[in-house]
Amino acid sequence: MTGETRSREFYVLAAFFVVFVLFLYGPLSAILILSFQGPNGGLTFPLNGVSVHWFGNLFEQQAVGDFGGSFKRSLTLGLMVMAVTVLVSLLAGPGVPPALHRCHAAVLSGSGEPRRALDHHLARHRCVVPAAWS
Amino acid sequence: MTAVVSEPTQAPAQGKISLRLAPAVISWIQAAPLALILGAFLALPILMIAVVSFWDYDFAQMRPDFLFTNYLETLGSWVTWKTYLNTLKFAVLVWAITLFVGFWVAYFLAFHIRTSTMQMVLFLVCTVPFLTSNIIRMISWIPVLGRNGLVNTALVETGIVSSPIEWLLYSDFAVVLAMVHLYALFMVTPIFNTLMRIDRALIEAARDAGASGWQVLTNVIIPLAKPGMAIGTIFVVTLVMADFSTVQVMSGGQSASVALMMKNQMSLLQYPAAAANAVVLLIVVLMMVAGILRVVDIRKEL
Repeated sequence: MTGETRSREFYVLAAFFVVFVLFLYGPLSAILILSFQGPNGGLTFPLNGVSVHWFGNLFEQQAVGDFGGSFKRSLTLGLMVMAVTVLVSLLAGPGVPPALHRCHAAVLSGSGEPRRALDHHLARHRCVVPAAWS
Repeated sequence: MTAVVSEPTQAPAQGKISLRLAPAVISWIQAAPLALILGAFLALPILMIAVVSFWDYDFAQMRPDFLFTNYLETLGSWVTWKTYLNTLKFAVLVWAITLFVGFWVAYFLAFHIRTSTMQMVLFLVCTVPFLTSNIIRMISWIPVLGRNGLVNTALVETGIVSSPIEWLLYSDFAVVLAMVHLYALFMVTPIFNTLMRIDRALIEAARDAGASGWQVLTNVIIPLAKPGMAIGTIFVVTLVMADFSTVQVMSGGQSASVALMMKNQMSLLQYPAAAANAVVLLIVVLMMVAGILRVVDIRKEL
């Protein structure tokens, strides 16, 4: 297996993949290179002087917008949203399939014996149910 | 003495009465936060939009009412149909290109990378750009495609063209390019997941039965990858139909999209008309999704 030579298909697809990755990263890297310009820099090449002037400007007082403050706010917002989403999804993950299946099972079995119908339903559908809750 | 001895032995037994709820109740309680959030943030706003779409309005205020005029105006105007056609055109183009690109990238990652570490690494390489803001990634195309941008200066200086190419930016080409750039990963990921689940023994069996590479692809891999392609299609189509910023910025304001139409109506404070538009868009997109689900059964994926 380790000594197997690669087929031609591999090289064609690898080239395609490289082009795809360049396509994804291209514009961002252009902007990144352009950000290292001097005070007279514009949005076009060639570069107008190489310096970290604009990175320093980022943290100074701005006429429009305040980078530090907005970054802090975005970060806090992101953390809060992450906490709530993870909590709700973790709760809902093991909870929703049994809840739905109980509905299903009750409907299908004519609500004769819900517990047996649920087990039958789960076994047929091979759901992942944590052992603690089944 | 017996009374003193019996008390402590009874107390632990009484203290062990724990809260025993039936498993059914527990699973409903677990599902409750998500149901509440979906209900409050999804079902309620859609209901409100549907209610507002029947209201009456003039230049200064909205009046609760039950009129069909908003719908008649929306569906009867040729501007609406032309805009829908334009947006559908973008949707079809972006879908076709992302399907082609996404399938081959996912195929390469699933079948030609040997170690799963490399697979994760390359998949991360594809995913990292999507962690940056959508708007930045869209706007970053402007210095690349502009008249004095990267592509044009490179082409002019090497002498391939005599003057900068005009249609690279602020055109339909730029819109489709930016949308493919933004939404390609939504097609790669579901197809990659589906392809990883294909039993390799099936492909071996096909080769043993004498199938050529092309026959393996068309008879085994593509039919089994259809659920992933359907999920990716649903993502891409819904995203393109709802997109307004990409169309507005990359076309320089020359192209229309349905969401842009709604945004314009809202900025004129014509909320009932925008709500009627929104309901029509919702119905159109739901019909498209229903059509996709009819063609491909994605229950195997879920």
